Amino acid sequence: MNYHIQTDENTLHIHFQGRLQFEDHKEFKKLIHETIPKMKQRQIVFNLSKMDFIDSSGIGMILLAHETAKEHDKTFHLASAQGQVKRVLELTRISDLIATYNKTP
Amino acid sequence: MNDNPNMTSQTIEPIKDSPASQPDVMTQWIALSLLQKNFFMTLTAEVQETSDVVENSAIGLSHQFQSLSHLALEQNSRISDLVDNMSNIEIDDQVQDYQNIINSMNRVLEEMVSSIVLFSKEAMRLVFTLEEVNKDVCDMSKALENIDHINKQTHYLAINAAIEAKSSRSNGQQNSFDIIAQEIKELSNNTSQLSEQVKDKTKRVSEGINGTYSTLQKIADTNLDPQIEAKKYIDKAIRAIVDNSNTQSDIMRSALGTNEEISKLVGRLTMTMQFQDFSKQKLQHVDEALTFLMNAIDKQLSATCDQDQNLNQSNLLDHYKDDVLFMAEEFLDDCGLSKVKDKFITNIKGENEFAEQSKNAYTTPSNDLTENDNDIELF
Repeated sequence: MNYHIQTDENTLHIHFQGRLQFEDHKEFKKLIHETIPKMKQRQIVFNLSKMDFIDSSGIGMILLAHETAKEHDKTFHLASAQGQVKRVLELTRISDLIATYNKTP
Repeated sequence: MNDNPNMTSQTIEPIKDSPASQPDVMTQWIALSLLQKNFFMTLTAEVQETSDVVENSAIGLSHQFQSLSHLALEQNSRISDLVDNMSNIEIDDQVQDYQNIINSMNRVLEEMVSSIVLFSKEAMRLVFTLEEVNKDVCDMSKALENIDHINKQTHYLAINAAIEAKSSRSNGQQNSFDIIAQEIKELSNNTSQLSEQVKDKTKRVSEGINGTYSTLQKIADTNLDPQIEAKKYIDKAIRAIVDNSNTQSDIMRSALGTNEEISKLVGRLTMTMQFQDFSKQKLQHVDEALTFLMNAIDKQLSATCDQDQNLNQSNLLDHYKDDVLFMAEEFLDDCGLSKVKDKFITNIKGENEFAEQSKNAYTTPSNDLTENDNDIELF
């Protein structure tokens, strides 16, 4: 898993690349716990356009990130999922829990 | 076709004059009548044989069409069963349509996926918590090592302090003891700090363990009954689908067998319907024989007219009309077919429409089929 962060006045964008799976949990946890509590913006967007693969632990981590954002009164979105990632998100009906967009909101 | 040597379309020569003696007209007519009688006997036998063939073929066709009708009904019933079987499925003695089954299975799978998502989230929470606990345990281990080190130093200092105290008391000096006492106090403070740290870490470890316990409890408390029931339901649905598929195969196999029977029956029907060829040939023979007789009579009439200057063949019927009618009515009294009789009389009377009427007497049934044709009762 690789990522880079981009910010504007209202939104913190995290652009993911590659795969999100169990072995990425330490890095992911660090990213979440270091970013969300300190961010000034109102909303956070996970941009998944370059993410190639996600497994069930990746889904679990995204849900924990969403939970953390809620704890800090931040709006959490997923955006631009493609291919396998999009199919898994649809299959797991993540959009019932998290606002999901085809493009960056 | 003409395979009967007795019947020919060739015009027969009228009764020829014998060189010895010329038979009189009456003799010629009697000879012709005898010939006609002979012909009629043969033709009656032909017509009777044709009638028998037509009747037997019609009965055979009737039976075969009945069999065909039964087979078609069986096929109908089979197709109806097949349609029911393809759209419905029986699970736990309840008939449900496939759409319901698919919806139920979809619902079940969605619930299972939701459970997996929930498990994934809680499992990752557990992983994160255990990571924290692990880090805290490592810190505690380091703190304990430090305490151990301080204890050792305290122990040495205590020994030294005891020695120094004894020496001071003998020399009347107080300073060395004070320094040592100060060191012990400092070590004691460090120990206290470390103790606090350990206490703090212990508390966090305890919290971590409690969190883990809580997560595990959540996972353990997850009600898996719906999933277990879902699995049972899916198993049953799959078994029912397999049973349905087997039933459909049986029905199709049976339908194929019936199709073969229908095919054979249609073959037999086609063969039976060849009676038409046979009948046509027979009736052609009769027609040729009757034509032959008509020509022979014409020739005899011509010969008779030649011998009697008072007679003319063109107005012969007018001349003998009353006699012919009288004779005809006498003969035809025994004729059962009143319609044919009337036409015959009309023809003799000179209204030469007989041939035309005969053509139209029996019109071909319409080939237009109606929607009620299925209701036609076969023979």
